[in-house]
Amino acid sequence: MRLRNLKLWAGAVALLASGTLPMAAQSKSMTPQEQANLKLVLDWWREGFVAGHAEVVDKYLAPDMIQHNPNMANGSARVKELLKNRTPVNPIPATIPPDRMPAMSFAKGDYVVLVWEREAKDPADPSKTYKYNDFDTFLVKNGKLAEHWDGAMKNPPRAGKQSGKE
Amino acid sequence: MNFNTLVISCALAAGSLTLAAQSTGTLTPQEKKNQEIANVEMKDILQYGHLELADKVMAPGYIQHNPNVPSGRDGFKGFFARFAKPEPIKEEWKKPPVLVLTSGDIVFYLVENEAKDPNDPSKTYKYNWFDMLRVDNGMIQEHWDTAKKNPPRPAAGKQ
Repeated sequence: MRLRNLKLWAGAVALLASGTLPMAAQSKSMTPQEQANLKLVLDWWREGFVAGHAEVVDKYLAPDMIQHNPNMANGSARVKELLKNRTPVNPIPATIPPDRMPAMSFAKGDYVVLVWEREAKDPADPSKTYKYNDFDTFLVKNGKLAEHWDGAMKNPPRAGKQSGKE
Repeated sequence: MNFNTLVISCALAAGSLTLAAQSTGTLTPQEKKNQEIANVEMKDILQYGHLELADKVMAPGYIQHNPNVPSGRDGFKGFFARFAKPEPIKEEWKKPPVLVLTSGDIVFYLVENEAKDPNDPSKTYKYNWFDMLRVDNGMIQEHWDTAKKNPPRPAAGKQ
């Protein structure tokens, strides 16, 4: 089973593109608070990263957010700076476009997990691509995202690019 | 998670002071079972090297999303046979995950790793990794992690 299907926070199951078997619904095992936490993260993703609106940072991120991505400094200010370099999408889309949706998402306790399916060039044959996965995990505290983990490794020095992987 | 994220809460009803860390949620009996089964793979098989337990907890049709490891239980056993050095299994993890979250049939592990700093190879830094298992009918059916395809030359797999 591929991660082609995803659950929306409302508990609805949205089928994407070439759907295979849906993963067992996660939302039915989520408490109302967990569903609210998942919605918070998906709203942040949609308004902040997909639409590129720096002004929503204060609404979603704790100012002293702990950042485990080794290319990003702690604190929400760095994220705001990053988003300010983007051209915001207006109006903010009401839903996450299908190609920007996590392949799977759930909330448990104070944590929210997004799993992504990505494509990369096959190092053995650059004419081909293959699929791999990546993740984001957030700790929700007092209605704000207080801590973030992802799979980013340190950027190599040369490029001089400081931008962290989103 | 740092311990400065600990929250002190007064449980007035019970008349006692309780310390509550960030919550990983309440597990249903089924979720508890799923997590125990998943831990056999992540701890007993992968950390203590007991590949023979694969037949007990992994479905024959185990779907592998790590692009360096073959699919199927046999594919998994074949791949890890060369790394497995069985040791007596202990209750505790050799390398505990930062976080284990179980939601329905999904068990998610957040792991911390160390790598050489590309800016200064005399230093290391920490980064994160995830493993995710789907448990159904008492068997692990599927696995995801952050692995990307290894470059062709060294045939070593990453996990």
